[in-house]
Amino acid sequence: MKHILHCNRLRFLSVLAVLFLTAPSTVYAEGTGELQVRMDAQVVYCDASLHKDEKDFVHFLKDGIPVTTVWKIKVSKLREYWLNKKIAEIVVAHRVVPDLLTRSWMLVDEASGISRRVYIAADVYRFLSRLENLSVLDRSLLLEQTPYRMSVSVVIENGEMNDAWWGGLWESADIELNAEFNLP
Amino acid sequence: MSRVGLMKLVPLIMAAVLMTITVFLWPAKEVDGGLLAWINVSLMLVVSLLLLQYGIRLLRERAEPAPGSRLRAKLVIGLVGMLLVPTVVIQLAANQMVERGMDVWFDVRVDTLLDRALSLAQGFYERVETDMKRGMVNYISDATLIAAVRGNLDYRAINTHLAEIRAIEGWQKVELFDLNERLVGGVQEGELSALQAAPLSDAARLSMRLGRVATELVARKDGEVAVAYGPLIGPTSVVGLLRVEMILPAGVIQNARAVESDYRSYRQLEHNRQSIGATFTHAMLFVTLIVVLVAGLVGLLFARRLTTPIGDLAQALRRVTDGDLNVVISESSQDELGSLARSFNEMANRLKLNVEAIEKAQKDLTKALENSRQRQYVLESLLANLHTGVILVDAEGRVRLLNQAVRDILHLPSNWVPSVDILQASQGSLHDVGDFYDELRHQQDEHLQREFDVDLPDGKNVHLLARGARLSATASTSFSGYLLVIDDISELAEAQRNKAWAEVARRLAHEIKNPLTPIKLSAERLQRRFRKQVDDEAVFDVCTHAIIAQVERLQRLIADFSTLARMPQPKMRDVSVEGLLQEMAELFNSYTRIEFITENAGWTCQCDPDQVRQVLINLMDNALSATEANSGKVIRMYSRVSEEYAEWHVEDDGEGIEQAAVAQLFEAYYSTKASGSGLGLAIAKRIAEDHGGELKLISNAKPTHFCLRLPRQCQEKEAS
Repeated sequence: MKHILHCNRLRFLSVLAVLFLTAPSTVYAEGTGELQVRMDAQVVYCDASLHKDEKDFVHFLKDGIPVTTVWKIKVSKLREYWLNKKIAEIVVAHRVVPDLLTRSWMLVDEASGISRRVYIAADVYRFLSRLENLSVLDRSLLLEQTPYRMSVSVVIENGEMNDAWWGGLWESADIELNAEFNLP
Repeated sequence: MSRVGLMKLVPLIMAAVLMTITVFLWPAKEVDGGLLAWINVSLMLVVSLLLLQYGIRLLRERAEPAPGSRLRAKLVIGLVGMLLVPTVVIQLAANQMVERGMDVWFDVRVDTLLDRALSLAQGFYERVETDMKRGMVNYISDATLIAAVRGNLDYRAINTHLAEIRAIEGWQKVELFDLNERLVGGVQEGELSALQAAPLSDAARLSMRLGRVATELVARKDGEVAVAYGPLIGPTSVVGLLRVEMILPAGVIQNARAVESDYRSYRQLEHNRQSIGATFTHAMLFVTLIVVLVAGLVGLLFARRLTTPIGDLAQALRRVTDGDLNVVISESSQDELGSLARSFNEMANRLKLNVEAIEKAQKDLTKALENSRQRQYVLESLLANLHTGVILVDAEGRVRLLNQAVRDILHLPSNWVPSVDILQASQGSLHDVGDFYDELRHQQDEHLQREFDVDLPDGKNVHLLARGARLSATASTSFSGYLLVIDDISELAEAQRNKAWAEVARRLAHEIKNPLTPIKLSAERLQRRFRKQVDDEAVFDVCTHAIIAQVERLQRLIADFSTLARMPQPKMRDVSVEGLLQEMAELFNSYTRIEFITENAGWTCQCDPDQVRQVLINLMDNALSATEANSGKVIRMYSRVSEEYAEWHVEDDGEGIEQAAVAQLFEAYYSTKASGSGLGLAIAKRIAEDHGGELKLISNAKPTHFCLRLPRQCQEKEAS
């Protein structure tokens, strides 16, 4: 206990450990896709698409392995001398469960629970790689003449989803998309 | 590099190896090791950082490490190493086994088997669909059904026809919709499940729009249902839709779904094959790390428990080495270390008692030595300040003590050391002392006293009074030997001699002076009255002149005697040094061979000018007598003055004084001149001594050089 509480050693170790352990969170961040922010009189919408090869999904789906794209959309208020302030955050999960017996795919929106069976692979690819007309937040929450940033981080998961609390601890985004906007 | 230096690098090397392994095992995105991978990496990082920090501290450490720390480190490293090697071997073997196992799991035969099983299951579904489609094709142009959707049949006729179709085809449910998706009629096996028909699905609408038979699979609570849609095609276009359902057999479906599930699981596992291997590796690594860490901690605790008494012992020994004997170490342990601690405490306690006893004895000895030194110092100071020479000789004849006065009296060389046999050293000036010691040693009496003259190396002669005593060992001292005491009584003897001579002179003067005047007067009277009456005047003159001359000479001699006997006290006053020299120059200005060197610097000297003048005249007379046959400036007279002394120098280039006469030159009644009384230099010397100065012969020939040296300030002692 005396050694653990040794200040110099603890400081030394903590600095180095933080240095090492924060490395992976930045290593996997990459951006291949498009993000567009739209808004009408009441709502701010998000349109996002991934530039991902269809074969990347088919590789798993043909073997009956479910594929899920988890879209985490975050709207932050940009601040110059401090961390950005988070305004809203929503998570949308698009899950495709292949049915090998009928050669069809069940498209499941995990957020709403709505599912749909399709028999065409293009529908599956579109469902997984696109997020269209998604309402993100009420426009009244935003201030005029204030810059905001919408960040979309996408995690592609294969197989069963890990719903345990620690599942997201070491999770890192496969794709990150950012777009800055402000009220017109 | 030394072995110790290499040992210091061990933690750094271990940290580097561990960090390298950490980098290699860093979890990759595509090969997910899960939380375990990150725990392992974190553990290895922490351990490697601890090792790094420990290694850096070791390298920066200049001082000697704490006692027992090296042993502790070796024990921990040994214990961890002993566990690490088999653990790593087990891990490698287990990894290999897992790899082999996965090769078996994901064998091609299994792969093929699953593919075939899935094909069978898919074939079942295809068969059901094909059968339903084939059956449905028979009714897309059924006139009764077309008439029914056009409203040309009543409800009962429609249902009857539908029931016939259901019975023929073996479907569980048959429903008929018109173009507006309105249910025209429907029958089903068993009881009616719902009053209202389920709306048409997208597939149904598509089928109706395209005019093609379609099937779909619908999963319900009671099982899976195959649904087929058949568009009813009129003469020109689609006029309705026939929807039929067939509940798939539960057992077959269950098996088919099981096959699909297994196939999916297998493929999932196959896709995650690397992750499974990585997970297993990380699980094993986690166990290994935990084992190593636990072993390290246990080893550390064990080593600390083991080395703490040793460290305490080493620390205590170091304190004892540094002189701190108030050391007590813990004796809590009952094993060999406890016994060692007890022995050490006993030893330290005994050592402390011994040291205290030694310190007490040392203190007593120091005190005694200090007293002895003080006594010795007093004795040495006494002996050093004594004008009497003291020589202490032991029974073996070695000189044990010899004071400075002996060296001064006998003019012993400064490098002469006393710790030698006095008989062997009795050479030169010590010869007579050696004889005296020899006589004392061989005589029966305890004491001996002798006076004798000693010729010193520089030609001087001193008269010594030597007294000796035999020292015998007593109860207080074991020393036995001889004590010799030497006094220089030359001056005393000379003073006694001078006193005796003065007395003789006084009596002679008294007895001889009175008759001389009548003798001289009688001789002069004879010369005056009887010179004309004698036959031979010449002889008469010679005789009378001789009488008169000798009488005058005797009168002068008597006068000198009187002067020597009754030397008056000098009347001191300030006299110019150069003035006296000037007076001499004026007095002897008729002599051309005298050179006076005068420097009028205004120096004065406190003296009796008459007596000093008498000394200088005496010295000049002697110089003139010695240089009668010489010509030129053969006599030089000059003065020298310093802060303390005034000097008058007289030099002549005459024959000089023989070396043998030098010693007796200043003695009374010693003269080298036939007509001299031998009192001139004796009187001059006495005058000089009465002034506190000295008259000395600086060189006896070439030139003959005398110097009268007087202090410039009168001293009361000398004056008195």
